[in-house]
Amino acid sequence: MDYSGYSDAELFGLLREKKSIAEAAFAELYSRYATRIYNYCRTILRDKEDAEDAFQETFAKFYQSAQQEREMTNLPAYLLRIARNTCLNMKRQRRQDVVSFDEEYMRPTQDDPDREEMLKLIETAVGLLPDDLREIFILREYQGYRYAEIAQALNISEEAARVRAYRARKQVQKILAPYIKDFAQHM
Amino acid sequence: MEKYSFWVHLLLEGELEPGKEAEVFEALAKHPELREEFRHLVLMNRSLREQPVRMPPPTVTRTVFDRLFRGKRSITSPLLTFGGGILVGLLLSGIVWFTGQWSQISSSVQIGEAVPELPVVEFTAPAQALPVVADTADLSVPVSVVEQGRTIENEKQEVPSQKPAEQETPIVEAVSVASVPLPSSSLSQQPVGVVLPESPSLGLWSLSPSIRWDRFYGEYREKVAMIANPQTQRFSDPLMRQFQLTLGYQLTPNHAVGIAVGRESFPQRFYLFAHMETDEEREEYDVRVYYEQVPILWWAGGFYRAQWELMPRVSPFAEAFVGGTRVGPLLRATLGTSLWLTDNVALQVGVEGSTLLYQVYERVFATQKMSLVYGLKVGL
Repeated sequence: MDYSGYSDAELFGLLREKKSIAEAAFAELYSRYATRIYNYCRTILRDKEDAEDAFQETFAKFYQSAQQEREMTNLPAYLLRIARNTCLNMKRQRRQDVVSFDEEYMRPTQDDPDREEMLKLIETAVGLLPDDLREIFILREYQGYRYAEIAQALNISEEAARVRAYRARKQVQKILAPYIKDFAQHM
Repeated sequence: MEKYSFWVHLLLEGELEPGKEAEVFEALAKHPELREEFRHLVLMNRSLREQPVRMPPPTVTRTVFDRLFRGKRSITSPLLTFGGGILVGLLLSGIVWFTGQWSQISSSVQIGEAVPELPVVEFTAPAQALPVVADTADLSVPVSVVEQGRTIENEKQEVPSQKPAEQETPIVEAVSVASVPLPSSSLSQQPVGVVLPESPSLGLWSLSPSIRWDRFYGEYREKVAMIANPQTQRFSDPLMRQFQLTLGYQLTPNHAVGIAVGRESFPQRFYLFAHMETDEEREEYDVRVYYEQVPILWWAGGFYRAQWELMPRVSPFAEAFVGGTRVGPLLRATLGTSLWLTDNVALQVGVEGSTLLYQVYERVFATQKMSLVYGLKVGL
C-alpha cells in the first residue's frame, strides 16, 4: 500500500497497527526523515560509527515511543529531539574526546576547490562555536530545519532560535573574516 | 546597526517580515559595512547550500528494519572493517565446523564473568599408517611400485589400473631408486596409477593416496603482544605467556596448510547501552557504558602458508589464519621466517596481527593486536 499521501500524524498512528502495516508506515516516515536525521547525527558526532549507532537508536526509540498512544503534532521536531538526546548522551559518555575526522565530511558535490575550501573553513569555524550556537547553526544551516522545528526540539521559543542562529552566523563570519574577503574577490 | 544586521540575516533566510524589506535595502544602500556583511553572508550561504546530502548507508537502513520488524540486528561496521562480511561468513562456516565451536561462537561475553577455557582440541592420526606412495604431481620424486613381487619401473602400462579387487592385493611400498633415473616425459604423459588395498578402515585417506607423512610438520610458538588495542593498551602484558601449537602439511615446497590451536589474551573494549530516565525533563534515554576486559582464550583454526627459500636455510613465509574462540571468530596474518638448523628443525621468528570479533548481546565488536612470535618448527 502506498502511504505517501498520508500525513506524519496519520503514519505515526499506523505504527501501532499490525506488523505489516506498521512496517510500511515506518518505511514511509523513514524515507521522509532518515536523511535529515542521519546527516544530523553525522554532523553532531562526526564519528561515522557513532553516528550510525545514534541514528539506529533514534529510530528504534521513535518506533518504541509510537507504541504508546500520544498526539503527534510535529513529527520532525520530535524525531530531532530523540536524535539530539541520543547524540548528546553519546558525546557525554565518550571517554576520550578524540574525533575521527571523516574525509568525506562536507565534501561538495561540485569539483570546485574554492568552494570545497570554503566549506572546510566554515566547518572549522563552526567547530569553534560554543555548543548551543554550534547546534543551532548545524540544525539551521546544514540540516535546513525550520525555526519552529528547532524551537520545539530545543525547547526554546522561535524568536530565541532566530537570535541564536543569527549570533552563530555572526560568530562564524567573524572567525572567517580574514579568509572570506579573499573568497569574495575570487567568487 | 545591529538591528539591520539581524534583519539582513532574516532577509537572506526569507524570514523577514515583508514590511521591513524596504527598510533593510535602504540601510544597505547607506552602510557599506552592511553591504559587505551581506555579500559575505551570500557567499557563505551559497557554499553551505552546495554541501552534499548524505544518505544513510543501506546496511544501516537494513539494520534498523531488521531490528524493529524482524527481531534481529545485522552485523554492520565491525565486519566491514575487516573486508567483507560475506567472505568472512563463508570462511567461518568451514572453520567453525572444523573446530567444533559452532554452539559457542554466538554466546555473549558476560561482564565480570571468568572466561572458561576451551577443551583442548585433539587431532587424532589415523590408526593405520599409510605407505609412502607415488606423488604424480611431484616429478622430482623418484617412484617405484612393487607389485606381486615384481618391480615395475617405468612400465606404467603394466600397472593394472582397473578392477583391482579382482587381483591379489598389491604390495605398495617406497623403494629408493635414486640411482634409477626416470624419464620425466614418460611420467608426465602417463601418470603412475597406484592402487591401494581396499579397506574400510582407510576411510577418506583412500581418496588421497598422495598424502605423505614426511610432509607433515609441527610447530611450537610463543608470542609477546607488542601493540594492543590503543584503547586498552594498559592491559597489554608482555610477560603473559601466550603460545600456539601447529600441525601443518606441506602441499608443495611453497605452499602449506594446517591447523593450529593456542591460548592467548585478547584485550577487549566494548560498550552497552544502559537505560536512563531523568526526573527533570521526564526523558528516557540510553547511556553508552564502556567495558574493558582481557580474557585469556583458547583458539583453534586452520591456516594457509606461502613460503619461499630466500637463501639456503632461510625461508620467509606469510600465513593467513581463520579460526574461532569461544567468544567469536579470529582472523590472523603472520609474516615470519624459518631459519633451518638441520634438515628437520628450524627456528622461527615473525610478527602477526590478529583480529578477534566478538559479540556482546546484539552488537559485534572487534579487537586487534600485534604480536612478536618465536618458536620451533620440526618436520616429521
